[in-house]
Amino acid sequence: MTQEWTSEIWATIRPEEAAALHAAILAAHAQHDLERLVDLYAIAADSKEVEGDVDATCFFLTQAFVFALEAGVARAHELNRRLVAYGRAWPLE
Amino acid sequence: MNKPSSLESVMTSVNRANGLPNAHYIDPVVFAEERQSVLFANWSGIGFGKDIPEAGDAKPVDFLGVPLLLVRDQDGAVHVYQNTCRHRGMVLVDEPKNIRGTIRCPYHSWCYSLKGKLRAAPHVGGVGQNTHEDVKMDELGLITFRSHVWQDVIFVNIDGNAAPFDEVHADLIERWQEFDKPLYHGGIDSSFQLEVKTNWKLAVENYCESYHLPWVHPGLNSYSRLEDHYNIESRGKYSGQGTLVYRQMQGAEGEVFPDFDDLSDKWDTGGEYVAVYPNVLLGVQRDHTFAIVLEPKDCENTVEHIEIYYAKSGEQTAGLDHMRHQNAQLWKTVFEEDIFVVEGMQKGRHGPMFDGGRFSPAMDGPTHNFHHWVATQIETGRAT
Ligand code: FES
Ligand SMILES: [Fe+2]
Repeated sequence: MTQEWTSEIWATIRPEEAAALHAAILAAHAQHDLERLVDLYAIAADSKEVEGDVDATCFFLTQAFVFALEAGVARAHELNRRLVAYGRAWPLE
Repeated sequence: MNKPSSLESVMTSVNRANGLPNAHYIDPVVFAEERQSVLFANWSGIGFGKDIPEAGDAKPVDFLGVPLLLVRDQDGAVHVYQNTCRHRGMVLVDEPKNIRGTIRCPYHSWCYSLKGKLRAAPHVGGVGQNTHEDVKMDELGLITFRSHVWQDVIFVNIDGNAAPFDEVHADLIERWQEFDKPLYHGGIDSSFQLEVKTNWKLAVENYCESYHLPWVHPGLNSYSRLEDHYNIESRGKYSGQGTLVYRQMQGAEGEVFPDFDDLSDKWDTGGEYVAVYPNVLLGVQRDHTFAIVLEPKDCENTVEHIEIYYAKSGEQTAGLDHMRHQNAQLWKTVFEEDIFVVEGMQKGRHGPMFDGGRFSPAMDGPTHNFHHWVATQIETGRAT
């Protein structure tokens, strides 16, 4: 997977792109690449947010948040704030 | 089950006492009783600080069937958790690893901080919904066992009812306060394990006494005579042996390991070897210490985990690597020489007419002291 994923590119996901994202997520799972899982799930969340699908957004935000927590990366806080804003998580201390 | 045997004959003076009855070495029912009354009710050794040197290091340990997780947090503190997720009881960590952020359960990804707090329970209130009013995060942290690190050994009190470690072992801590200093592990070959077909108590008993030295360790005794050893006995607390003629190892150029700082003269040629009841064996000398954790596998099998430490780090004394290697070999030889006796005593205890044995009143005080302590723990367990 050489393509750089960015939120902008994937803000609205076309079906063939969604398939590529799905494949990338599976590959990242297989490699236990936590940072990449955070990025990819966040991209999926962004795209669902643009579509206005709150449940799907929060599903993907949750996935991204959990892997960010596991990896101990600062982005966990940002993802947590977004979930909290939707009323979907307790704020992190 | 038969009525438990009376331990009266163990509790009397060493001159008249018998050792613990055979059942305490070969009967799985008694083993289960001792697991609770002796090993879980006291401060047992389960590992070493050196096994989790860095912040975030986590190591699973099975202690008599209890899944434990040793963790070093970001502040350097050691924690011993039950290695069991508060959700569906999945084992959290199945091999040693470094945890960068949180401990994530591999089943449904509940996440715990290194200090044991539940930080996320994803989708617990439904998909994309990470809260539920009935799932109280602050009540669902990891179960923590009381633990204490001394001489780099991680001790744990499983049943939670023992007096604080510092209190239980106050005398010994005081006796050895000159060795309450940073210890530097000797590196890879200063760490070895011996699998021994014996009940763990026989390893303690053999370690405590110097009576066997001239017979089992003739090499050791060629420069360390029996009369240069003394018994260490503290009723209800600890026991072991000391030597008055410890001689430092010297390299070909006369090089020696650096001493621990500020030791009193006693330690110029002194060495002490003490069993920290129930299952930890420690030795201190002017220039190195060692620690042995006895891991009881079952009634008749034990793994001895042996680690050697020095007063200065390997980096500070890089020129002494060959001597650290040699010293580790020396100790390994000594501990291996003891295997046939602890395994032989185990076999001997299948002789149905063995009565626990009679002690040498002069030589076996430290062993009897341990039996007396074990019997006391068992009686206490039976009384409650
Ligand atoms: S068992 Fe650990 S999250 Fe479900
Ligand atoms: Fe010995």
